[in-house]
Amino acid sequence: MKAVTGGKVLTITQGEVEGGVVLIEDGKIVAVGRGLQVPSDAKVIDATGKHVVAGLIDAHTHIGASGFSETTSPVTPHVRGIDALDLRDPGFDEALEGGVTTIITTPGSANVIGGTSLVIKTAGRSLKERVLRNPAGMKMAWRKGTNRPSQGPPYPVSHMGIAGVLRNALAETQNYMVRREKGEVAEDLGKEMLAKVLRRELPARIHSFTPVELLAIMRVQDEFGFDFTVEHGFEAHLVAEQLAERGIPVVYGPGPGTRRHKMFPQRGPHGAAILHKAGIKVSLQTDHPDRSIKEHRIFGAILLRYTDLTPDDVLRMLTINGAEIAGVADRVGSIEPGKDADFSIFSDHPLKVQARVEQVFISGDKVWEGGETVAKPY
Amino acid sequence: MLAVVNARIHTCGPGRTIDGGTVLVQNGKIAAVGTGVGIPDQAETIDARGMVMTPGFVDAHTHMGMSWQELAGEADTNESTGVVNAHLRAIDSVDPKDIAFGDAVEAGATTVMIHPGKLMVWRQTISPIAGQSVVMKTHGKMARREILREPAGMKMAFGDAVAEFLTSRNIGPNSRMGIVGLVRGVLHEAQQYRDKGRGNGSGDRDLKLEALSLVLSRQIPAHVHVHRADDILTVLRLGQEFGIDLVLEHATEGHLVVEALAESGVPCVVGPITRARSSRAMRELQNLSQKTPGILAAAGVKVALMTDHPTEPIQFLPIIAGEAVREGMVPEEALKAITINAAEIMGVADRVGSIEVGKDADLVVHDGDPLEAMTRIRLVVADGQVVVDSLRQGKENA
Repeated sequence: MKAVTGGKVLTITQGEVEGGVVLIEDGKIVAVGRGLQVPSDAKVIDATGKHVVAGLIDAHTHIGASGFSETTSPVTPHVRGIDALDLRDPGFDEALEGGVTTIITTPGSANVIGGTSLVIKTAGRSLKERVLRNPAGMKMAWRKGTNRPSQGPPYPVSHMGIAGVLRNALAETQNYMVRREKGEVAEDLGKEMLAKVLRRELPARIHSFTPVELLAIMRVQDEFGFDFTVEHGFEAHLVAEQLAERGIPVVYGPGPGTRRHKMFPQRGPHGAAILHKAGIKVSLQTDHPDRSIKEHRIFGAILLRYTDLTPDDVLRMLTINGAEIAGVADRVGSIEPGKDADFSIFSDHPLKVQARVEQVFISGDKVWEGGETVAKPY
Repeated sequence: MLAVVNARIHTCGPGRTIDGGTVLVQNGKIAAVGTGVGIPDQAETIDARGMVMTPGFVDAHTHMGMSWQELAGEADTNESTGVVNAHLRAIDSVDPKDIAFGDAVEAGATTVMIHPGKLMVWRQTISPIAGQSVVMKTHGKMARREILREPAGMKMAFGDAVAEFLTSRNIGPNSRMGIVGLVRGVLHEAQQYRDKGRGNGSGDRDLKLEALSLVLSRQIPAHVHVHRADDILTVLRLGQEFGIDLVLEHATEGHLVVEALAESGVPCVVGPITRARSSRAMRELQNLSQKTPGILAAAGVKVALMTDHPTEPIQFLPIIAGEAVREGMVPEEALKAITINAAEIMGVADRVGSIEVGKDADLVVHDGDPLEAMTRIRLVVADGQVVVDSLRQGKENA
């Protein structure tokens, strides 16, 4: 048994516990509270004067797969992010340096239908223990014209072209499901995966930014029936009502929306706040390595500078909301009895830029200590 | 006449920090700083009790105005038709409509250096001699935004991105020594051009060599994009060979050759330190450390920090300085890295970078630690004009 004592525990879902104790057994949290009895055989982790914070969750990264797409076709539902997963990627270390313990990692966004993403912890004893959910979603991308790295046929260039590719793939899957049921066709791995999407066993995670894209996606959703998340969503606040009516979550980012350019003239940090106020579940993302995952909490802090979101709202966007969107909230996202003992010890409140991540724990094991790794001078 | 009173003033100048101080502004300039400054009757007074004042921030490395349309397929940062682009001027690509200028003012970044030669999103390429940089103010009507220094430097580059640039155009060279050989050849040609007194009226005028002559005669420094430690040493060697003034831009592995840097006296504009070191597209970042600014400053290197806007948005400048503090940089040094050090490196410290009598009245008032994200900027004064104000009663939060 382990006991984290003396710190201010930010549980996320159960408020803050000043001088709280977190009891851990077999990698799980068994109790959280003030003045809990610490068993004499427990290994004590002293967090006096520190903040104990639930492991952060980044709901959209390319760690281990570095954002690559299989660009042999705009429709590749049969490819799996896990088959590209390189556990040596230093992005996992950068995640720990930033207090991030669970991520979604996903194929890139060159394809209309890009393959399956997975949810994985940023450290752990084995791949088997680290993977929380696989597949965790079907990556799709509504990405037009010059904003698409792979061009030329059969890649679509217009919004209606993208819709056409997506609708065709889903219609073919409907046909496949009927004919497969009758035993008329051989198994098709890609269509099996899309069938999971149409049966709502797997959400589509759709790279999309603007109202024209989001309205089209909702139209296709009405036609075929599936669950989806908005990935990036820098102008999603312009259709916040429609998204809220459908209960569609937004994985907002990378960054707080301060990096502006001509393509998304309405982009801004207020976007995340408007979505939140409309009742939409918002989680933040870094899209690592596009933006460094180490900055995940800093992006959250910047939302506080520019909006009237509260620290509590933002912490949820960095933890439990991402866990719920990833479908792993039974395991991670808060400091609660029964969940995995994934947490970090910060020198100060985690939304302060100058607060340091001092120690990181996953399933009760210390997996990181002492900040950033620096190479030695020559 | 304007008086901002009762602030805790980080002057970033010899006066260091003044508690309960007053800054008196007249004709766009700072007329007096300190405690016990007499306030003339006609002065408009702003009470900044409980607030912290800094100079307007200075970002020593941006591409503002040059690439805000990049994702729409347009970008004006890097000319690819020639290898040596010494004759090109960043100012001719700066679109004053870029909304980032307004963002900069709101974030208290009142002066920026704008460099040509930026890596593109899907093309990690840059020309070895990218063109001439400009220093300008960020506030004011777009056609009247003040240029403080032009040309302010010659943007050059070494490393992987240059090799890729040359390879992608099938023109070589593509090895590190080959690229350095190319640049030495060009600088040598410029030496001869200068020594033979060619120029306008000689019938032999060459705009590229003319611009490089400015570097050779030390009228402007070379601002050199360089990440890797071996490339840093190469640049220092090249600078010595030609007797030119250098500024290292990015200096990602500077902490690995900190002694050589300190000995050289060459200043470094470090960053952006918020980038991922695990980027496969940018292998030169694999040793990126947020500790680098602190390590270099502690060794006596003059350090400025950058956003590299739009790589990081200009608004992040003070937050980036806060990250440097978290990783060991002395807070006073981190603040200087986005004010006076930057101004000195850019050659405009006579005008901006500190709160001193005679300098431009560029002032920022914060409601807390200027290097924390949650702190809000309550007042920005640029050249003596109030351009952001949520401090006085009845004013909307900017």
